[in-house]
Amino acid sequence: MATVAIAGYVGLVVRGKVSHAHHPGNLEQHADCILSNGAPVGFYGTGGGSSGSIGMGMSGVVWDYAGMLVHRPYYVDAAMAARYGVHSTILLVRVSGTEATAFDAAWTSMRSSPGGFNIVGNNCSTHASNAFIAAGILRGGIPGLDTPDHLYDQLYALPRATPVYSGFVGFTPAGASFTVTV
Amino acid sequence: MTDNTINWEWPGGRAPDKVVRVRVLEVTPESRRWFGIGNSPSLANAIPDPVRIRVEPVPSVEQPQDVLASDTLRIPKLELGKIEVGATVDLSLLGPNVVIALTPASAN
Repeated sequence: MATVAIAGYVGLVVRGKVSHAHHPGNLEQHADCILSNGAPVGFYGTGGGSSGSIGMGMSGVVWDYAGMLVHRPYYVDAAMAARYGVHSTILLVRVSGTEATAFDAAWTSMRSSPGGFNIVGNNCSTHASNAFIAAGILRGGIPGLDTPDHLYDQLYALPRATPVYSGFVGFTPAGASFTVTV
Repeated sequence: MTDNTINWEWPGGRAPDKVVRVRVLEVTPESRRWFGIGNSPSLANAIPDPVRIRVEPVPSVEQPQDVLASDTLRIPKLELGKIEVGATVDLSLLGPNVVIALTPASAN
């Protein structure tokens, strides 16, 4: 297990993506992000009644580490990830202090007003993309269908440092920040 | 889920509000409606390999027969462990609609 150096980076985590070269099915992937202090954060769909069963007309909710610990422990605990066989691929993006602050602020805003969720066009990757756009890291939305893997490809093509790590991912609170391991 | 199923959450350091002893009557894999969209990992209620378990409280002087809000639980298959139909199990509950642990009841 290796510790991921987070300082100077923010990140995208594609759940269900086994490696850089792996392209999971559309319903086998999910996007979370890594804030500049290493904290995990992500957007999920909840409620919606009968339309919720097809992923449409749902409410959005943003989960942080505490939320993932009770709803997705295998996204924040490497031992649980191994137990459940949940592989993730982290893509880090080198950012300036200004970009990092804007990225974190975008997630703070989404957390207080998550809005709606649709599995097509307004999903986890759409909101992750919005944070990268708000930070000035990306100039436009995800090319093609909004999926975590397409966002990954868009970020990987950036002309800036984008180190990649794949495996069972863990986040451990360390004071005001988090230690990320793979 | 939108019905009154008792849904699964991981404890995350939380202690249960109550523990209810039940007998497992039925274990059924959840059907994959709409090509499994309803269990996409981006949906809050998604859990890995969901199974539905029908249970009945074990009668005792400590717990009334209507102690559960529903007779159906929805949990990840992995958390079922070796628990089978007919087993007696202690359910750790948070409020009326969340189960955070299933433990085989000790024989006594």
